[in-house]
Amino acid sequence: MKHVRPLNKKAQNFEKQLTGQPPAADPKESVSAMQGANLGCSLVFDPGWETDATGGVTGLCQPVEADLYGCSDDCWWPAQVPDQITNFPDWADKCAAAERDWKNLDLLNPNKP
Amino acid sequence: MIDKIAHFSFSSGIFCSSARATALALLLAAGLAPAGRAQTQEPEMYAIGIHPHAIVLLDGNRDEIAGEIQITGRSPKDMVFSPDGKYLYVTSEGRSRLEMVNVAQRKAEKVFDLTPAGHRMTIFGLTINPKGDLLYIHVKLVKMLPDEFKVEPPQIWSVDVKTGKINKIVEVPEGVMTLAMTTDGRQLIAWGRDIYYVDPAQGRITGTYPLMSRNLPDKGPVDALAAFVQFERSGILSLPFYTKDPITKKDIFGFANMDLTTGKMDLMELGPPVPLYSVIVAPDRKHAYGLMLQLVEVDMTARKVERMVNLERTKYVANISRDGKKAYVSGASPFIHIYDTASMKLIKTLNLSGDPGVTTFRALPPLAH
Repeated sequence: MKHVRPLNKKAQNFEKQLTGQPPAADPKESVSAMQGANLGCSLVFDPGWETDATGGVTGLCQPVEADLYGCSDDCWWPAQVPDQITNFPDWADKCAAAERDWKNLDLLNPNKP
Repeated sequence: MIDKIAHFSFSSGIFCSSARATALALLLAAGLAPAGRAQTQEPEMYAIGIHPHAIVLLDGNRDEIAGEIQITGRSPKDMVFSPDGKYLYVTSEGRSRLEMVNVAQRKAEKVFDLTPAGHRMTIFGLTINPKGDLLYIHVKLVKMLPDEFKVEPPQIWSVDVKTGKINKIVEVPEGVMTLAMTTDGRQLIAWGRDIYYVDPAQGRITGTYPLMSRNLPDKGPVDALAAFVQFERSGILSLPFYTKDPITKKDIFGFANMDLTTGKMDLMELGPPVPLYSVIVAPDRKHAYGLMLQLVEVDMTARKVERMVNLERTKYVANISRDGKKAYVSGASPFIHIYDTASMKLIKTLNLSGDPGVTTFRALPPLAH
């Protein structure tokens, strides 16, 4: 980290976290929707869609495949699905209904030119 | 021909307008209402977006899918009908695109070129004025500089539907997710962390109703997801909300009801939380139905939960028939499930060709009938 300098707020907060400092709070800019609710499709970002607020699965969407586009279209699962905003907008074009057509979801190979 | 059909169909109705005649003609042209039926029944149409890039039209008289309209962008999100029902405006392609769909001709007639040069733009919130000549959109802009992405202040624009001309109305705080307009067309309701009342004529925020900024000794912040909105049947934009009682520390849920005829807000607390994504209010405003994993019926007069049944699948979004007897619930899986509101039983399942994601489920507005 000696030669790396944080440039944005997320990186600055990450550095603070590493050094044990509390992250900068900026409530005006933080995302709020469903943050305080004790429910939702997933409040545990580890890795993101397997557990609900209670650590179980009954609060998840049923069947879980049905939640794919609801949660990925607005980039709420930026780590769990391909980056469809910039690099892979067509990754799910062949899969109209996830619970029925999930085999048609594109597999992305980052090494593919 | 059209005028005669309109006369036979609507001469005994409350609304007998040219807009209604236009709407019927459009529905006939779209194959939504057989001629024989059209003479005895008023048209009842709904639209919902599905993956990857289509709008599904639902005929509420027959409870059948009446057609699919392919649009140019992926993942339709916010939608609003023009007051005469002739056009459907929809955001697509990662909320970056605004399209005008000709309902009768079943095609995307126009794509508005709105994104300023050198920017990336996303649209969260779309509504239209009562006259139908101006759309209002809430946009988030990112300036794509060579070495930096510069986030610009969120703002509300008007868009002239004929010319596509943009006019910046006002900058708003971060977090706005939906827009609606009071029925008199004088106030925009921008729903975000709080609710902002915007006077489009003055170009300023004239009032704020605190939600997340509510911090009273006995009332905590209000958390509501303004993603799945509709209000055509009742004139009430209702959303489920969640809060914590600062004294008892207990979680509470309720319905946040924005009356678009008056602009007045009512936070209706209902008890221990039930997970819900959206709410529909019956046309007579006596009952409302929340949905996610369950369908929850609320007595709006007694302000309490009356009944609750498990849904067949998770649902995001819904609408309700003009007579209030049927709830059309959808979102997530590729189905529209029709529930009888009297018995709370599933009475019909309609298959869709794609998943409705975070889309809206809009009814043809009352004045178009």
